[in-house]
Amino acid sequence: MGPGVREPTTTVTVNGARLVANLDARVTLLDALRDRFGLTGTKKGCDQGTCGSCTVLVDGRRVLSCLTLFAQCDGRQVTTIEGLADHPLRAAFIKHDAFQCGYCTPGQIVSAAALIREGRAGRDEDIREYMSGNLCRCGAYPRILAAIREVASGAHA
Amino acid sequence: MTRTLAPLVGAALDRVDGARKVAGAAPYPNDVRYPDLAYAALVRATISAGRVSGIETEGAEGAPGVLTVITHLTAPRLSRGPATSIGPQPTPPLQGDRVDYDGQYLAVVVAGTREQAVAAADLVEVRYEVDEPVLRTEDPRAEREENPWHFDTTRGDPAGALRTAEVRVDSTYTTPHLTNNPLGPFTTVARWDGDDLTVHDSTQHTANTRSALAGVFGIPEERVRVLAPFVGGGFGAGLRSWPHVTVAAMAARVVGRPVALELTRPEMFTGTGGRPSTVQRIRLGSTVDGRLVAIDHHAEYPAAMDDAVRYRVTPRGAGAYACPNFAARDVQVRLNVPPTGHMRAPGTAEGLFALECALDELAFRLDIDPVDLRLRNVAEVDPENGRPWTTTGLRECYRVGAERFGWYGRSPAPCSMRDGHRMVGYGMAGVTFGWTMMPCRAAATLHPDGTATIATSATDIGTGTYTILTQLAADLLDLPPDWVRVELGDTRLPKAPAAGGSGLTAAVTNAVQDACRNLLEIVRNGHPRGTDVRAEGASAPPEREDVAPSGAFAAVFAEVRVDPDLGELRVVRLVTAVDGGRIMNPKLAASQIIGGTVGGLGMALMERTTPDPGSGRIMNANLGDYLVPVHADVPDVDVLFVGGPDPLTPMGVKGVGEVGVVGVAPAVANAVHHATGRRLRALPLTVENLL
Amino acid sequence: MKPRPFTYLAPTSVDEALAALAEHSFDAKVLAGGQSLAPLLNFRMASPEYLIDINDVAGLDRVRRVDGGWHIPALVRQRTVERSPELRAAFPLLPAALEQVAHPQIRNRGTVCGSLAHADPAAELPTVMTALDATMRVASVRGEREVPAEEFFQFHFTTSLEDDELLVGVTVDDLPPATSTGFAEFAPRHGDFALAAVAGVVTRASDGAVGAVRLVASGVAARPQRLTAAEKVLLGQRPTPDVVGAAERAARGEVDPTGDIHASADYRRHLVGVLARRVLTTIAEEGDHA
Repeated sequence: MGPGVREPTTTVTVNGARLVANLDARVTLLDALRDRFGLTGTKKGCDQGTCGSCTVLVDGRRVLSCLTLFAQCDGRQVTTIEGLADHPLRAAFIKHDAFQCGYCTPGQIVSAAALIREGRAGRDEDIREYMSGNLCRCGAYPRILAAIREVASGAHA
Repeated sequence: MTRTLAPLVGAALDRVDGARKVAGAAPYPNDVRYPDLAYAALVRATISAGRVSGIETEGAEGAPGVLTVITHLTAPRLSRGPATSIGPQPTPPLQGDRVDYDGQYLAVVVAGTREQAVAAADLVEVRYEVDEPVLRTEDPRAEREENPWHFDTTRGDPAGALRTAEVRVDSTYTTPHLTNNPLGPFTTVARWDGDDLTVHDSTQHTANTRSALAGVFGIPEERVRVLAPFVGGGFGAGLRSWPHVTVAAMAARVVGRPVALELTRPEMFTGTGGRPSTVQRIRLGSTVDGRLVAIDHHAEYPAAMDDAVRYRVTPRGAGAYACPNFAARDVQVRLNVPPTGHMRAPGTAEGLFALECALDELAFRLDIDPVDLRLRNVAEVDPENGRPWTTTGLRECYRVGAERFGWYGRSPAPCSMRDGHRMVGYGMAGVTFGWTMMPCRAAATLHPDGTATIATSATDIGTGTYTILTQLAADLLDLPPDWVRVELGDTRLPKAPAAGGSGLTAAVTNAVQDACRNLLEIVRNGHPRGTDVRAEGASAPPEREDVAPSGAFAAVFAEVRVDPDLGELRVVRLVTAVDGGRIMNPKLAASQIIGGTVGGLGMALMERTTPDPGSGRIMNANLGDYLVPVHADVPDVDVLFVGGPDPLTPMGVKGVGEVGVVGVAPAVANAVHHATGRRLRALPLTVENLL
Repeated sequence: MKPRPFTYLAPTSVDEALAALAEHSFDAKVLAGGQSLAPLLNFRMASPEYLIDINDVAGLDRVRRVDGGWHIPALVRQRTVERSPELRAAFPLLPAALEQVAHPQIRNRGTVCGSLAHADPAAELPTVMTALDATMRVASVRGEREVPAEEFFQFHFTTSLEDDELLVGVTVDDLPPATSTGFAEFAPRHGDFALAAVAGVVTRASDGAVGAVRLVASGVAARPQRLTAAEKVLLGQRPTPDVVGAAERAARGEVDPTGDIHASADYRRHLVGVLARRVLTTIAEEGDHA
């Protein structure tokens, strides 16, 4: 192994749990979560960075796990939908019927959680703009908007 | 009926499967894991016509982790499963060397991991003898089939009436090939246990997948179990049992391990059907005061070479207007395209786009308000047979929708409304949707602890079946809703029809109602304590000679803004009024209409599957280039329900899964004409055509 | 889909990264944010034998003040620049363009330099950096060199980087006084690559006439295209509506776009004119009020 070649072991903290794995360098964070760690809440819709279904938080920022190699996450904190168990967005999505088939929903909620923390969910047009990386083919956008608006404004409390 | 439907039926109950979905805990087919699961990757044809003259698999077979490579030379011989109400099953895969479309499966590689399978699939080398593909309906070599499914219809003398009509419209409209693109990639996980096959499948019709696979492998249906408790959307793509389903089951049998085959997004474009492109000519004849005297509607659309899908475009308008002279003619043209299928309101969305735009042209020609023109031609009875509709909410849709939208605040002349430098347009369309219902069975079980289980093989692809059956059973059995458990998506449960054609809700609610009634009958007659009590129930489409079953009606109103410099088109407001019969759950039903409206917006503004004109290969087979609406593209959508229970069936529901999509594209196109004076007759309504 | 197998290298210093590039040059790809590279890998449109992940390289993740300008090293994420108060103040063009780049998830990982090295002719950043006359800092074991943006972008997805070179950062000089900037693009769907975009940087002389101008379009050529004919129309003139109109016509006349599945050549040509007019009109108003 020459200089710069990292030991293939990757250590990642996922939803607070430290996970160590020695995976093929090709494995994306998305496939590692789903195929290796059994965290199937994160969804694959395109594998090309065009749909947002695989959105997770890495060190608190929303990223597309299909465009992130698992090996790149060494030492990072990853949060998936499973790690947002108590987030008020979950209840708000149910209340406003902000999904139908539910496939894009984990990505929408993770993305929305980041959006709210980024402080950009104050206006409807901002929510629409900054949630545009998450496709919903069932077309629940108006309901997603209502759910995020409610949580962002604190009205759910 | 022994119990009244209250208070839950008709209430805005939260989705009962919501907690699992927001937790990421609802198991979709690609979430299924077995300890010894192997992964399959497909090799697809890169030509549209010809034959495979050689296929080299040694490299792939020797690649790390590879368990097998199956080609047409090594695949077991398969049969074609039995036809269904929507047509024959697709051609079984890997059975010969002929290539009929770009994207056809030529081999499957199975390996221990996803990465190994995909890497090895790349090593399979295919040689072809290439034929000149037939790619356009105008190609003189293309085989044409007139009236392919015997849905064509004629009443009166449309040709004569057109000749003598006081006013005529004669226009040609085109709609593009569209791809459903549910967000969940279609996945089949197949597992054999001796001659027993279990598949977890992205399907809208578990019973169809079962009979298809049983037929393909020549085994009894009882030995096949299909599971689809959750599906990541379908929009019609899951109505057929596609070749990949068979490939997965075949691969699992060959390697003797469970196999997962998850389509990639590009594979979704060639492997799961879609809405075929159409070219439609409409001729309308009218009196000067706006009474329709003739409608002549002709459509041509492609079908794949070795495939058949029951389809109809022009006959969908047959019941829409009280017009004494009517002709509908469909022509299917055989092309080297991937197998077509169904996409939300198949045929209706295309056919009524043309019809509703043509009516707008007529309204403009006659200087009659578009709503008033439609009101003058409402079909009070089914014009096909003179029978009264079971319900007629269409007038109410126009009235309520127009009022909510503020339609009559419109200045009628094109180009007469502005917002700053943007041109403003109002447009509308009416929708008369077909009625569908198929036989259905369901079971109701009362448990000793007082809770109940409702079971049927139907799928809930996001429409809300879990929830409305919970509401219904809770009312009928007089239980709190959380005492009712609904099991769906499993062929071991009583057989249900497809989640398609807007017909499932009528079928399944009536079957569950019957099952609950039978259950209560048993309970009333006394039963041993401490045991489950189970009853089955069934529903079937009523055979009625005296009435015409009416499907849903709708009226759609759209407001657009057009930037005259850029040609930029934005839809800023949409109102849809719907008569959907009894609304089981207004929150979930409105979600269906909102979702349909967003789908209609995609059809109006951006969606188009684009083949390379020379090779036929789809050039935009990904979600970056095949544009579907994103959040910022979607304006406020207002949904209003009118009317009430339809007397045709005990439950009185009509189905709202598709009606929402239909009127949007014509309403937007008509609004564009109102804004700009430009009549766009091709979808999508692209910006550059507005300059 | 999954990439072909590759060897993953994670150097921790620039020198290590450059050594790895020198050793594997043609067979290697540099991975920064991965937002352009990963889709190519996933769908096997790029198949490097070595992937050199520079995310662990020290000292490349902070924007810093340099003599007369700002330096954006290779690991600075697009979102960082978009939200940096200093850069927003110094170069309003950057946030204006970055807000149009894809979606937040992409911008959180995607780097400024990664987008520049990827050199997609439809992307916003190469266009804006060309308008700002930015300087690319390029390094290899053979040494360092500076490349002006205009020379850096050469063709579709092609830059003047040699196989063993790394884009270690981009430097943008402070704008002169009395300089206004503008950016406009048009995409039929939110967040997509624009059909066309125009970035403008205009410096006014004391009499209000245009003293210096850089007007750059994307979506019309294989690389960001300077609209030199339009610039000539503007130079020495006050940007009155007539002059702006003449520049619009010149811009339309000097581009030669090709059509594709998203837009025809004629429409792109038309768009560049309209967008140039809008950018120049905004700049003119701002300058007149300054």
